Amino acid sequence: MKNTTKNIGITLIIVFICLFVVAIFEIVLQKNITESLEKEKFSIRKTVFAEADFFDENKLLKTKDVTFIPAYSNNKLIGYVSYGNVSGFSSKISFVLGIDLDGKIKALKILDASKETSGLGTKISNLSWENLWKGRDKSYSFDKKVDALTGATITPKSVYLGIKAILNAYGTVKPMEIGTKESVVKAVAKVPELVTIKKDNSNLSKDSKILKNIKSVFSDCDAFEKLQANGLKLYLCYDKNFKKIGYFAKIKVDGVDDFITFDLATDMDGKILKVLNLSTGNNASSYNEKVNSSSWQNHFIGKDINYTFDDTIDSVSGASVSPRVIYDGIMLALDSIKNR
Amino acid sequence: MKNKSSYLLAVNLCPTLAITNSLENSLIVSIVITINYLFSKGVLKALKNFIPEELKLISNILINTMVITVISMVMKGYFLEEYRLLGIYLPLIGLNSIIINDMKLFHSDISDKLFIQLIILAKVSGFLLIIGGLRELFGNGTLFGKDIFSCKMTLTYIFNSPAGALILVGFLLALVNLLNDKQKKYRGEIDGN
Repeated sequence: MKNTTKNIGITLIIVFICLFVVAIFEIVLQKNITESLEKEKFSIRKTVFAEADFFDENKLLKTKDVTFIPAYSNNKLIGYVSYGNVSGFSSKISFVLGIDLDGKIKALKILDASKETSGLGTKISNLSWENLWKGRDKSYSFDKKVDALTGATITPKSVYLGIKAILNAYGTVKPMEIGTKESVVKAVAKVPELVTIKKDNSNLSKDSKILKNIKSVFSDCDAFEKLQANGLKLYLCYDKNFKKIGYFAKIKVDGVDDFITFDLATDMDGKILKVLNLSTGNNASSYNEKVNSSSWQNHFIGKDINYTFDDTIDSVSGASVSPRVIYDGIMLALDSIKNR
Repeated sequence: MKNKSSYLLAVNLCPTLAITNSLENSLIVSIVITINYLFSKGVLKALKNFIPEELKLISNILINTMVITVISMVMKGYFLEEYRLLGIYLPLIGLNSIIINDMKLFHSDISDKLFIQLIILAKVSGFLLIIGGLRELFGNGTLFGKDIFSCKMTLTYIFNSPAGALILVGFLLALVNLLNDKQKKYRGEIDGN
């Protein structure tokens, strides 16, 4: 008994000595660690914005998913830096993007793609591939001949989708006063639908081809109004009394080999009512079986703009890109609806 | 425990496969392993008379954990790039040191002399450097980042992957065993004469 008590005592003394030593080192090194981390952050941002001498984290520009850090040179705003994180072929890929004031890519730096297929997907970290992106803007579409790497299409495509999401987000905040607090508020604030009855029905359409599609979800729909939206066709649906009953979007996104098209119906609050008419085109059908199944499409029902991609639920074994691009398409539509 | 350095190499296999894809990385891993081992061994030696036999294992674990935590903080403060490189494998290197010390507890034939232990560590480091060097040379055609020969063969990517490292480790262990056998045979012949 005496021996046990002695051993416990000695163990506790060793534990306290170890904790004491670690605590001392932590106190002594804290300043260096903070400085070192700040230096690392700055040098990473410098790689995508070499001209910048200061990045102001107090004037961040934010949308739902993307944050833009203003870059300054001699106190003059010269662009923004944004971090991206996408699901690649077998792992998460992180990157940082420099964007000039015109929305063009200044430079791209892949921060971590080390867990992608070695010698294939990891080649996106090569300077020659990163340099391809300089000068491109949101209108650029993935070109398999130029952007894909031998034996690796999914990894570069995933990065492209991440870049496009950032550039699209930049487009939504850019027209407003960049760098001011107001722009942040404007970008994230939802404009409430105050009027639900349309008084002026001059721009309503009853195109039977589209109406037939819409009626498969909104059976009460009598007419629709075509809305302005980037990268998709968006319709606001009305019943016989010109009451707004929901949104209907026709979405086309880039898959691995071909475009994926589908329709999306939401209520007036932007909650998903249905994902329908999904066509995966010439994309490998065996991989897209699950995506084509109604159970996979129906799991989006009830979700809204706040829904984030969940690898465990949304991903499909063997097909990393398709679910992701469909999700991105859905979010693009929900974002357009939200900003109305 | 006749092939101590081979055993230690096998113990170091996890960080070896993951990190030693270049000569520079191998050098960093070797330095960290050496520093960690020497410091933890030093502390354990200093407390030798204070720690009872039955508490040696737990003390070993605690002290190694402390040393590797301190090393990771120092690296974070002064060598952040290298710290990021080792990442999750840094605690694993600490674990290796625990196992090496632990071997000493149960196998008294490993000499306690500093010189002998430094030789063992040098052998482990040597193995790591050879593996890192070969992987970098055949994987990228470079050494310490400098071009040695242009390497365009697609098969060479295997040297950059953990699978390539495992194959290389296998070949090296086989070579070591072959050399050991030859040495024994040669000595046997000399004794016979």
